[in-house]
Amino acid sequence: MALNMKTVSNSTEGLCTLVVEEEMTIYVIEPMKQTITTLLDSYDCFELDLSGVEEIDTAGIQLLFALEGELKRRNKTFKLNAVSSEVTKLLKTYGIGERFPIGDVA
Amino acid sequence: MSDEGLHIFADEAEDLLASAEQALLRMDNLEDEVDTLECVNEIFRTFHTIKGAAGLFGFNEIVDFTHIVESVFVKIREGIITVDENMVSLFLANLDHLEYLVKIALSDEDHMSVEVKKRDDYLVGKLNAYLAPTAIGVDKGAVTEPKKEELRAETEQEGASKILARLDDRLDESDGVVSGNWHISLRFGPAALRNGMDPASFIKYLANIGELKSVNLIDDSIPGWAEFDPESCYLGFEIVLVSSNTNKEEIEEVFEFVLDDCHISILPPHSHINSYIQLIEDLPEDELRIGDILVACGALTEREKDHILNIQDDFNDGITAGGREWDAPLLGKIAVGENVVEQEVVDAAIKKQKDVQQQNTSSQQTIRVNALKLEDLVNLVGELVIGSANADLNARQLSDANLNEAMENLLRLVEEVRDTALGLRMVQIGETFNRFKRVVREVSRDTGKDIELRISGAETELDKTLIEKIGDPIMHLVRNAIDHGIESPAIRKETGKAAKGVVSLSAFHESGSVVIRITDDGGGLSKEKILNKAIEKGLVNENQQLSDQEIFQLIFEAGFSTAESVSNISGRGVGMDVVRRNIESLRGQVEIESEEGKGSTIAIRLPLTLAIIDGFQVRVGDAQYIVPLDMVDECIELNESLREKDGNANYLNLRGEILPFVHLKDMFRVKGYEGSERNAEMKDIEGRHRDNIVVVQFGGKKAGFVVDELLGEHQTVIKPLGKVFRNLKGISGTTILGSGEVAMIIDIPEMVSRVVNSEQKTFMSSKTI
Repeated sequence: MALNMKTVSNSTEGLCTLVVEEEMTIYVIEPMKQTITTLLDSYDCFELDLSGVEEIDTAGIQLLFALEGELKRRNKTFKLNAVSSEVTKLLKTYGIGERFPIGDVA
Repeated sequence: MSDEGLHIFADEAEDLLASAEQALLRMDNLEDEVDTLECVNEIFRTFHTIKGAAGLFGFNEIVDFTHIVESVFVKIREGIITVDENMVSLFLANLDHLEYLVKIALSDEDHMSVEVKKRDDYLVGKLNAYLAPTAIGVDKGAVTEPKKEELRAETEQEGASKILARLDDRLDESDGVVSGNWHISLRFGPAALRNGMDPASFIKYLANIGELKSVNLIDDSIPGWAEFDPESCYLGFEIVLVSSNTNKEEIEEVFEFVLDDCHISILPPHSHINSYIQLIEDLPEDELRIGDILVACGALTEREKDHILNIQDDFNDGITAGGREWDAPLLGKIAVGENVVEQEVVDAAIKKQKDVQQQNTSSQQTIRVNALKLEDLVNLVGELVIGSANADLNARQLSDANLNEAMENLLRLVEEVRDTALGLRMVQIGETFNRFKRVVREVSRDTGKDIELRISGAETELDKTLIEKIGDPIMHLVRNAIDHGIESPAIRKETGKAAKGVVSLSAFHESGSVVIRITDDGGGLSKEKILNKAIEKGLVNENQQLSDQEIFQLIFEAGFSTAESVSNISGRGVGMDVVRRNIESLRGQVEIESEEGKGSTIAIRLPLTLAIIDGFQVRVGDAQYIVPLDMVDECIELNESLREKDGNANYLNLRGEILPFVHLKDMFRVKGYEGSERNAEMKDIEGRHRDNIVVVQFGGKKAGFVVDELLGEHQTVIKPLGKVFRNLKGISGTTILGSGEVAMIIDIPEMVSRVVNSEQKTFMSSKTI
């Protein structure tokens, strides 16, 4: 399986939306991190659209935490836009359903 | 409650008490902490299980008592009390008391007798001494001491144990946290995800055991983005689990596969506050942060958290410097990767735990069967054997090939059924042996000797009835070995022996019998002393010539004791004769080997089973006899060459060995011998009678019996001799042959010793003259 992540970016607003589809597991997590690393400096606001994620594991969740933490340190914004039922399920298992604010794109 | 339920309770209690005793004795070796913890857990479980069962039946005395014992164990588990030797002794006394209480509860007596009550109070008092608050808890010592006094005063009015149990509850409250839920603290190692261990699956699985009250994900360890390795795991969890019917093992099992990759702490409901202190200390995160998390997930109340954080400083000052190390294994946490516990120790502990679990599962595969049913079965099989022998005889006379073939098959099956049925009654002797650990411990303490008990051949199987009856004699011999055999450490040092004496118990099978040996490396028996004493007592004449064995056997005479001082353990000369009588009543024999200054060995030789044996059928005149097949060494023809060479002597040269033999016809004075028709038929061409010798072996000695005809193997159901014939020498029982005739079973041990001794006597007397 390969990473299926598209980036929709808006340089003027400094907004970058990451759309992850199909898989967000340990098998694709390394390239995913690398992609995000290249974008980190360029944008101020990151939004994640996980509505197309069919499979997610703890590595995926952990990446959310890592990204959220890093952005906070850089005074940048992290937003979880939309999640699939699979993602919700895992967040619930971990008791973190409320942790990430899920909102619409402003 | 039904009688059946009570029986199960009695059986279970017996088993549990036995295993708890074993665990306690293992605890004597106090150096190994992991081991000790395991023992503590086992004993705790025992008391807990008995308490539960007793509660079911409404045995309040037991419930009250076990509750207090349990509370002490809770403290031990939490590391507040360390176990010492006196404590082990106290718990042994508690076990005895509990056993007694169970017995009382099962009998119809309603209440404890005054004596028992007194002991109950005494033990409860002792236990409460341990329950008294110790230095660690902040100020609870001050608070609870008066409380206790107050309660003590009430004690007189109400039942003592009840009050003390209540007192204990209060103490618990002051030490334990309010939360009645399990708290599980997990910190996954970096490799967890890579190894395919997804924390989510464990948490999901936990939900099967109980209700997940809260799961708190700890992401504090996730590093900055640059260092963040997305494939490593940085996560931790604080989980609160609501489950009333689980235990620590069950929860640990969930994480069995991830033990190497995960740091787990499991705190049972109402854990002692110290456990939480330890937990907070152990966790990598900031103490305040963890405190908040624990409050957030409901493990601690706000007040408890403050309390912990406040006393943290005191704690770090090393108040519990000794206790801290204790805490680590007590928390049952697997501290891999930390320096608290060495990897090997953990591995060993895990392996042991698994072994115990395996043992548990194997014991679950057994069925309890009423002993009477088994006995009935064995009796029926006995009848079946006789019946089939009868059928076989008739089938042979008909000479029908098909019938004979079918009969062969049937006989083989009957034989298998017989072996299986007898096997049902076989139990390993190990359990009986283990009982002696306690005896050795106590007796050696009483006598001030340092003694080690070595056990070998614990897996040797023996008929259950035999095992039950042999316990007491062995007990006596073991006590004797310790008291008379092993010298005091000072004397041992003088004679160049190790200060620690060794008593070994071993069991093994040998030609149809079981041999149990009790060996000590003590002073050995003094032949001279025994002989003098025997002459003094008039047991032997001064001029009598005795073999070593005969001299040693004198100690089994009634009223014989060479001990210069009489102790409360042994030395009163009561017993050794009873020991021998007991063993002989089981068709067994006792032998003694001893070397002065080096030690002695007492060997008990018992027949494998009491019911059915493989016999070898022989004929003397018109009578038939059975020799237990296991003891038959070989059969040879007593031919003319042997006869001529030895003339009328009753021994012959068997391949260079001297083989004493007897004519059974003389021994049993078989009537009508000369007129036996069968003998007439069997004369050889020259008209001479042909004799056969059956060579038997018992206890390393060989002897020959001259018989007229060898008839072959016979499945022999032993019918014990009636009262009238009980004292008959040389015959151990009878059996019924297929033809309905009765055949005598020759008592080989008795006969062999008779033959060998008479030979020795003639030999010795010829030498002295």
